[in-house]
Amino acid sequence: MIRRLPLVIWLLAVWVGLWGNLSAANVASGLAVAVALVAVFPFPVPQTRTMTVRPLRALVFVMFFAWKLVQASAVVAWEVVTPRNRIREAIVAVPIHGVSDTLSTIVANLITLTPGTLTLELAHEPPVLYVHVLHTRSIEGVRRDVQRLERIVTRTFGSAAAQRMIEGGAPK
Amino acid sequence: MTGLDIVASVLVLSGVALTVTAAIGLHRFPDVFARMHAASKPASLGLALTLIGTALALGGADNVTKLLLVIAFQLITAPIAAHMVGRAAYRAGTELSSDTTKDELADAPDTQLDP
Amino acid sequence: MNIVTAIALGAVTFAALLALARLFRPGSLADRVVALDTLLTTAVVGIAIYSARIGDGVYLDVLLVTSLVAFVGTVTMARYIERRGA
Repeated sequence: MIRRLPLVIWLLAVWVGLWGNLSAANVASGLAVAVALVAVFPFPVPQTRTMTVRPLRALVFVMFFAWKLVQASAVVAWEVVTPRNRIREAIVAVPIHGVSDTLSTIVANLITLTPGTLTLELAHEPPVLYVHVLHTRSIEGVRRDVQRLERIVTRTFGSAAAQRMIEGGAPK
Repeated sequence: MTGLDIVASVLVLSGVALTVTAAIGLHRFPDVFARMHAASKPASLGLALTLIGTALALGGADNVTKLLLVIAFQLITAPIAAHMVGRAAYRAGTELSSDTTKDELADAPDTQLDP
Repeated sequence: MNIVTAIALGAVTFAALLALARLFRPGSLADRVVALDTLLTTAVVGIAIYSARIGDGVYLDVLLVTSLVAFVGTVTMARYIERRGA
């Protein structure tokens, strides 16, 4: 139960945010609802073994994420507006380290928001990420970009054990 | 118009422009997967920009909190929704467009993927 | 500000009509799901602009609910497509 505390705090924050003002009644009712929900529904427990909190790097990561989103939208908007069709689609298999489910999920989400890529499948044994690309210039280039993203995510959110796991390149 | 109004207007107009781009992209792109690119990325950014502009125009702590919540929710869930629809469309055997150069997912052994 | 919101609402209406047209165009079920998701996102943008226009935050709760419903609906349809084919 105590491991779900961050989730309870997050639910409480959302509840209070939706009610608009920080009053005792709101906080009390929010706490009751949050605790009841967490007790009744089986939420997945966060994998603390492979994740650590690094506020400064997380902030840099958020800004990187926002910049990638702007780039991605610009690429799509450019493709929509220009008359010549430059779309060369491909589905690329990228072998990744696959340290933990949570980190892989963050990487998959980030890839979907990166210019021109969309996560299609995440295989487990061996850990491979299948990515659909819109403008393919080179397949190896796509693989390198995705692996670079995985390194960035692991360096931002991964614990020391996770970081040791990603030393060196990926197989296949 | 005050300075804040000008900033809010710029944000709202650029957000709306991106949303229109997403809608046009739905028609122009040749393939379901390409359309998913169009539907997730500019639409999310357009929504974020417009809502920030609205937050600046409205003011008030409760309004701003609610709008920020919607932005956070959209940015977290839009990629997930796009991925799930893409995965489902692929598994259901949707045809890829004729421009596709390589499909490496077709070679994947079936034991690897989640049910 | 009012002129800006008027232009913005006009553009959002155009985008919504485009998304709606995509819903009716012949294509797979996945196409229609994507079109519906875009339509709902455009609706959220439209409601936000309208709230800015009237200067009252009454309709902001609608935004959150619409986003939630759009997400849950899209994911549910995705699971249906996986099982039944597009």
